[in-house]
Amino acid sequence: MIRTEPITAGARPWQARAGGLLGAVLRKAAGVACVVAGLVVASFLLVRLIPGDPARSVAGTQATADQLAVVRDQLGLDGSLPQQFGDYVGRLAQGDFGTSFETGEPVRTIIQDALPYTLVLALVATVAALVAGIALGMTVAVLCRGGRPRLDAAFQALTSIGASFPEYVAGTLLVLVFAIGLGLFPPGGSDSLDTLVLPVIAVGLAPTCTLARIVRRETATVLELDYMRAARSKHLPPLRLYVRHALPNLMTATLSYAGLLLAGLLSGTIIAESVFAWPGLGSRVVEAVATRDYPVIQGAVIVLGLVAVLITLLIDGLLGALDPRRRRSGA
Amino acid sequence: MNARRTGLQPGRLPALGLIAAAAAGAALLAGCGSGSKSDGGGTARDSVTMAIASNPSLDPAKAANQADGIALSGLYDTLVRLDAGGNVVAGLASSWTATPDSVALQLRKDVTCSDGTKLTASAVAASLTRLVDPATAAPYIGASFGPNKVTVTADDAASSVTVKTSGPWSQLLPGLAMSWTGIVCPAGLKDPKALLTKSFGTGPYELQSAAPGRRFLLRHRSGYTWGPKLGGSEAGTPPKTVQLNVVANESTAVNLLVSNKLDIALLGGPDLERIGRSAFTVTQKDGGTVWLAFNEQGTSMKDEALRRGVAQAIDRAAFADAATFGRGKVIPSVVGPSIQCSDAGAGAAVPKLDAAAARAALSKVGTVTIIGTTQLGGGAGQEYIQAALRGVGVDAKLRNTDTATWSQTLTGGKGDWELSVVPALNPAGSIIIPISQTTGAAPPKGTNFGSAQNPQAGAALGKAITQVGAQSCAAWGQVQQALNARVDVLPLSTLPLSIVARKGVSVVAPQGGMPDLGTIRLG
Repeated sequence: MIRTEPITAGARPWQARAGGLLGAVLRKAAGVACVVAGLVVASFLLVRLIPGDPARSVAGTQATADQLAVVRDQLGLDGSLPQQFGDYVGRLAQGDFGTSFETGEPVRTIIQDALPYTLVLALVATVAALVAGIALGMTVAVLCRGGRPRLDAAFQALTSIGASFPEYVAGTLLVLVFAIGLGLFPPGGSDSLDTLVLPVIAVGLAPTCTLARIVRRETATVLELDYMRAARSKHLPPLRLYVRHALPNLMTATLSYAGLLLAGLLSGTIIAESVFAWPGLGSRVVEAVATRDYPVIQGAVIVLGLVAVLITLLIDGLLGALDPRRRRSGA
Repeated sequence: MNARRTGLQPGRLPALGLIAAAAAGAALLAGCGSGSKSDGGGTARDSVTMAIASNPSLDPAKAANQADGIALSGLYDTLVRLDAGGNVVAGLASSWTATPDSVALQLRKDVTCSDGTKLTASAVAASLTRLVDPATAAPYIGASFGPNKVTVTADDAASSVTVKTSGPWSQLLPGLAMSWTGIVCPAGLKDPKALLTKSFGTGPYELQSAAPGRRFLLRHRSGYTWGPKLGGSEAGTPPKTVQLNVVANESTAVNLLVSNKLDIALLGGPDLERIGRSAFTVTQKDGGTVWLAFNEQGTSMKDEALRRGVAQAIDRAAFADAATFGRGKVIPSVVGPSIQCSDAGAGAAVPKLDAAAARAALSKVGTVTIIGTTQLGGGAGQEYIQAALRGVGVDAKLRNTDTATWSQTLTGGKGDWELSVVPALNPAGSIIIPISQTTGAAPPKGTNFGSAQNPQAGAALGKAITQVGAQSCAAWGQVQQALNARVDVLPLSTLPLSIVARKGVSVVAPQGGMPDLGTIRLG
């Protein structure tokens, strides 16, 4: 008998599976711990490499040396670097990210207030890109199967342009046309659901085009597989044929891309937040960098990094749950 | 071959639906639909929506920028105020007697704090005592009190307060009009941390809610009757609420204005051109001044002939065009023309444009490093100066950086730069701010960025701060003339600000281009 999974001698299969699961969880936990440690050290050191004095930023150019010394003491910047790091790690261990140098707000409050906006924008843009990209890519692949080279060329050209369209250009044009010109959507703000429409399009346009190209290529491959030929020979309705039989086989590549996209958008919506006055974490981080507000930058880096790690784990788990090959390989 | 062999199972597809549902749910839960009608600033006529560029400090002692000053103007009244002409007018104090080193103020008797308690003289004294406490580290108190020790005494029975400085300081009275001297009521002094989220003032508004990064909602106080007369129109009614929306990007602010989502905004950049003049009133103000600082501490710029050569190479009108999108005006001195005791005659001592003389003077200057912040017109003004110096044969290098990096270099007290373009926002409209940045102790101890030691300016400054009235003003003029005559600075341009208000909404910006929330009127 050939074993496909390593089983400890004498152990029963469920024990082996439990042991394997425990090992995988431990490996993932160790990986997350390493990432967190890296984030803590890197965020602490990197902010201090940025030129500019946070005490001067708080006190203003008008402050004298004596006033600066008082501010530096109040901000906890008068100790040595190891001392500051020790204080920082000590506070983090108690779940305290510190307080903003500029506004005096607890960093935890800043993150709690701003992160949901960033998450919503990133999540909705990702879902919108998934839906639109899959629909567009599959449609073009089906229509172009065995012909219509002009349609395919147009698709390639348009998605190529769309994928390389800078976010700020898209955002500005969307505001000019749909907010100021046609008055269909608000040009900015966050007080109603319709304020989300233009930022989502601005953020999601390029990923949609990229995803559509991936899906179009994958679909073209899947459509030529034997099981799809068999399905077509049964004269199944198109919706059932493509959605129930073709779509599942596109999901590995699509979800992998979506995971990367979502993790990237968490820190990549800064420009859209600025153009649309969207009060997410990105705009707070930009402000914090400009004023050298170390605690805010550090807190945001750690939290965004952790969320990105969690998303990656979630996508891995989702792919593992949906893809039997991954389950078998234990990936 | 089937789906099971090649990839995902069809039966697992509902997971995608879950993702979509989660996203939609998150969108609703994150407060996107908080539904404040005030976002539509132009639709609700009992409220006004105004853009501010950053989160304001809600503690008067920490006031340092324009957003702070705007918010505090609505929440915390000061003892006196400056009107649009720069004159001291009544605030919480109805009358006063000033000497060079003291001001005795008679308080109004009808003033109450936002919590309903009556404002007493001892409460005023406690607020000012906290302001001048070194532990408070209020960055701008020097502009109000100079380098002096300050004593504040109160007489509750007579409702009077006396502010005394250890040495003469002619700017003591106008110094009490600055936003950082806003009176914090006793409840706020008991719990200074609460100043971040609540207001404890005597101003026309009280803070209803604060959502940093998004908006600050101010509610008008019923029974507020002690507002100052700042020279604007008294017609109309104050709005019931003023919503300050944080909009860092000027283009976005203009988008919101033209889409009826904002009523008031301050603009300094080119987006002003997109404003339809039929729907808005645009008022031009000077928000401060821009000048060229010469680093006289350990660089070639300690040589007056070289400084003069640099000044002769620069066309100040061309600089103003480049740095301020054509809206700035050439200034005669570092003190803005709208500030009291600004000396228009000081401009006669500024070296005239003379490329040939500049080329001769700068033939052996070597490398000149120019520093500046991109916050001013994207750094275009500095680029113009670099080009002008290169035009007369100077090896000019430019370090355009963000403001934090630039200010650290400027105040570092090192000889690693020769020239710096200094955009000095002066929302308080104080003469002390530009003068203290061009005279006195050099960095890193002081704020005299160029480290110029100008004996004539120093002597005139001594007179200016020890005298009051016309004599003081004449001495301030001599300071400005002396700085220009020795080319310790090169005054360049005003820092123009445009206050854009929707028709039907009026606001006064008495000093420093800073709209005063207490002057907003509807109708």
